[in-house]
Amino acid sequence: MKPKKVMGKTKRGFWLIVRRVFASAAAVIFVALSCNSTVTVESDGRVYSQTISPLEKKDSFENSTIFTDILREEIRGVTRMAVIRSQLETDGEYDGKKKIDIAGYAHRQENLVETRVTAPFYLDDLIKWGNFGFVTETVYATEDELNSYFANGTSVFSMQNELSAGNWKKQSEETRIMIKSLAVGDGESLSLRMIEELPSSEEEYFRMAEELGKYVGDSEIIRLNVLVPRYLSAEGMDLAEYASSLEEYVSLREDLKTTSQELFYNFSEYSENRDFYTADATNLRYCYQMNVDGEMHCFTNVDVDPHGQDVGEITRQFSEYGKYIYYNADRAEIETNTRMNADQMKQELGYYQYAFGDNSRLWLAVDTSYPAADSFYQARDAFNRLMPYYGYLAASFVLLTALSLFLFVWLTRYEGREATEEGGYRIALRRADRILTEPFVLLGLLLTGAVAGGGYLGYVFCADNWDDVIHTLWFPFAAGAVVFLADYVLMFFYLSAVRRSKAHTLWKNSLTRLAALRIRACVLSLYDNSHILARTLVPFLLLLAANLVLGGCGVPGILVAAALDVIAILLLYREKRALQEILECTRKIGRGDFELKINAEKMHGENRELADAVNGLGDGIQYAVEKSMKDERLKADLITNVSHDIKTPLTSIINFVNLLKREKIEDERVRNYIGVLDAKSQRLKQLTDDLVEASKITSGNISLQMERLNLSELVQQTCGEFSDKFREKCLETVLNLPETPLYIEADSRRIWRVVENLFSNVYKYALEGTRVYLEIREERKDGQKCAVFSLKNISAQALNIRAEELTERFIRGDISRSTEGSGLGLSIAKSLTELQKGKFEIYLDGDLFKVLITFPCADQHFERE
Amino acid sequence: MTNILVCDDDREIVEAIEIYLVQEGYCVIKAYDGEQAIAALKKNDIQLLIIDVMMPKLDGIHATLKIREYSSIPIIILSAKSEDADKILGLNIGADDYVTKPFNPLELVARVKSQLRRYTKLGNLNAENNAIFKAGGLVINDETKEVTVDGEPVKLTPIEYNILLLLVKNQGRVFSISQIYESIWEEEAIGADNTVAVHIRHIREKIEINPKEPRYLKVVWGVGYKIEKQA
Repeated sequence: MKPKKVMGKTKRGFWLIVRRVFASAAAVIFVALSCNSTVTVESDGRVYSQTISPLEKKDSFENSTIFTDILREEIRGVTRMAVIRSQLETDGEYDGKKKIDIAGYAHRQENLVETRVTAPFYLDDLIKWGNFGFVTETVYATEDELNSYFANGTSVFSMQNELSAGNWKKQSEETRIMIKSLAVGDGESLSLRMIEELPSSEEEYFRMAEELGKYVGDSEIIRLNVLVPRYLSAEGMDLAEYASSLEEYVSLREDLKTTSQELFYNFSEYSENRDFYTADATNLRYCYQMNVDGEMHCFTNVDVDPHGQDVGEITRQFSEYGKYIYYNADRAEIETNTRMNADQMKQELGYYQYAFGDNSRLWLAVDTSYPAADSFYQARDAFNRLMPYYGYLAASFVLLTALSLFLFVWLTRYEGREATEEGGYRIALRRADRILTEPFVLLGLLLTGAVAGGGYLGYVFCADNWDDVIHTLWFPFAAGAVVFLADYVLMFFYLSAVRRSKAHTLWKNSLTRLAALRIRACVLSLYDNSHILARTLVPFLLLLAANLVLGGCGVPGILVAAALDVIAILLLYREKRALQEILECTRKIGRGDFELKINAEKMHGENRELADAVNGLGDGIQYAVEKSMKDERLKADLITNVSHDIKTPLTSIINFVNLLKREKIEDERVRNYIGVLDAKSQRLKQLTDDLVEASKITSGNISLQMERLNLSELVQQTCGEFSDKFREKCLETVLNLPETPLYIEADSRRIWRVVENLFSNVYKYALEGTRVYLEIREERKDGQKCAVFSLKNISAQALNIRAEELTERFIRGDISRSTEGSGLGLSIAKSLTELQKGKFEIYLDGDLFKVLITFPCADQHFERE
Repeated sequence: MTNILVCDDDREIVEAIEIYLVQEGYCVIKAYDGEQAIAALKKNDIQLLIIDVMMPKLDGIHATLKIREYSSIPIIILSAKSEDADKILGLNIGADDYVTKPFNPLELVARVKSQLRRYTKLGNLNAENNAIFKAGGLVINDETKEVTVDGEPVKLTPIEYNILLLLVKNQGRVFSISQIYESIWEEEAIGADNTVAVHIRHIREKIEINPKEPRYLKVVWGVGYKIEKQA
């Protein structure tokens, strides 16, 4: 059975909907899967998402990737908290009076320990300073002056107390208030003194230096930001006093800033999340044994005693929770029943690696009874909810997508087909397909955009609780509904595009093409209908103007002008070529090739009209020629058939007349009658033969076999044939032949017929006892060698008709009508001569009858074998 | 007794032919269409068949074709169709001669005689003698200087005899007037002379049944004369 080529309307609609439903269902599953496989969990102030990998075994949450991912996140969190605690706490409690070595803290992550100038500050002070921010004052001095300040606590400028006293006013109001409020013991902090004494601008520096008689170059002056000392160190000293040089001061100042900022940040985190990893709030159990400032500290949320219990005992205790990790940070050794390894642990400690010095030990465990509703709990919940169905859903998704794709391809294939009566199909367009292409595409894009925009609006609307929304049951179905709708719109446009492209109307029906065609037609009709002067002059003037204008516009203009000229030349060439073609065709038609047609499709204007006219002319001629040829052929056929019918009774007449003649009839009269019958029946026979031949020649229904002939030989042969007859009428032939043979191209039997007709004409009509002149000579006509045969004789009767009438059919000299000829002899001779490319002329001069036959000479070098 | 079957749908023509043939001493059996002709041929011992082309029931061409399947008797086609193509067709399908209507009854009788002579006598003629030249029914005995056509002696003048001998010796070759003149008179031909042409015509009138449609001495108009090479 042949596959059906056409899909029914109902069937198409049904499958379209089925496909749409499949696609939407696939979308529902996809959205449901991707929404539910993402678990967003909250942990110590961070929110992060983890994805359930589709390749998990469905029953073991603790061995799944998501478990490991969350564990790593949690390890990162708990490590951070432990490190912060080690910074801020003493013996498990926050200790504000803890002394912090600022340089040590700021460079805690650098492995190379250098000797640095440092200063101890109270933790509280640093945190407060970090919270408050840093205030600096700018002073100007040379490096030497500043170094001497830090080294000796004084400089040249300190002698100018009186002068500098006025500088107080130059300090900002804010600084002044702050300095006053500072709990600086004697008010004689070095930093403050520097701020007071040193000039606060370059102009001031130069002024003061001038007063002191110092001359300093511009480039030597340094600008230094001096930190306003909000707090003194734990040793009650100003920061500047720790420094012995400018370099040390800058280093201290930056360390202090870094330390207090970071501590403040850690403190805020600490105060916010210190309770996050308590045993009640999380299923994570940890115990961090760390070396802090040379002392072993232990941070944990379970009841262990690292000092009392040995490593093995603690590990065993942790392993009872379910999943556990023991990690020796020193040697990067790990003991665990999770999927974590030493490298991963090292990576998770990463940033805080510095905090885990000698003898650091880490124990971590997840309580797999999940008493707390933490991230593990949430993830396990989601995992167990999704995993049993994951495989089926994924498989259905793949199946539905494949089915929908298959239907898509299938429907595309059959789209637009409409059965024809012959059992085939054609492409049928719908009403929507008649919309021009560009607006249609624009509309499609707009609608697609609207659907996408709607989706985006929905997202924006739900953005605040997006996380809750995607986990609801209705969300995937809403997404499916949107897909259903979007699919409807897109398929509508897609299928229309398919139909258009199948019907090849995508380009044909485009606005661009129609506009281009319209413009072209406009220009052409304007051109074709305008006056000849306008047609010639306007393009020329336009081209000239364009050349002049563009020629003045520099190189690009000249290039454009050149391109225009080339186009103009090409157009001119095309025009000329069309004319040439018309000319050639006309010539050929003139030579008889009436079937030739000029291809007028590509021509314009006059050329087209001319071509059409010539084509019409050719048609007319061809029609006329065909008609006359057909008429002649019909006539010839008729004559041939009639002559056959005449011949049969004629045969009987001749036969019986012959029999009568053989009877011995005494009566003279009867014998005379029989003689008349005999003569007339013979003439009738001759007449029918000539009639058939004449009609055949004129209808062209005759085939010639051309060969090389010697005209002299022919004439001699004919003379031989007629010698008896001529003698009978006492006609003397005078032969005048050339020395060398003259060859012509002719059909030998037909040319014999011509000469025979002429000779028998002479025999019938020449005056008895006269001479017949026969001559053959060579002549040049139109640069071509010709053989001319001439025959002259004296007519027995007066020739009272015109020469040309003699060759008309059935015409003879009037009086000789009663003699035996058919009247066709000369006509046949003339026709046959002309058929063989010869010329047949008759001249009458009184009683002189003259015939001239001219044939072009054949090649002289050729000799017949 | 020689039996000749004459077949034509025009009864008058058959009758006329019968009269002529009976006068010549032949026995005539008549038929009026192709089927009758075939039936008559089977029934009688026929030596020659004259048959028309355009006839009812079975035309002459098809009848000839059928007869040629089993018989080799001489067949003369008699037809109003005088085109070359008709003649060629008739001769090609197995006819021995083709006569067009209206015909000269005496010519027809001559052709009948000629065909019968060839059919009955010439078949067993042997030409062992080197001095005997043959072209179909035309035989020249150069020793006795005798010329016979289909067994009938022909009287020729010495010049005519020499011309004919030249052409028969070189069957198929075309001789121009001057070539003939030079080889017979053994002197150079002078331009305007129709002696040879007149002699040729005389020979034709003597050896041909219808000099206008020669069987042996053919005129190649504008080229010369030749004896057609006979199979």
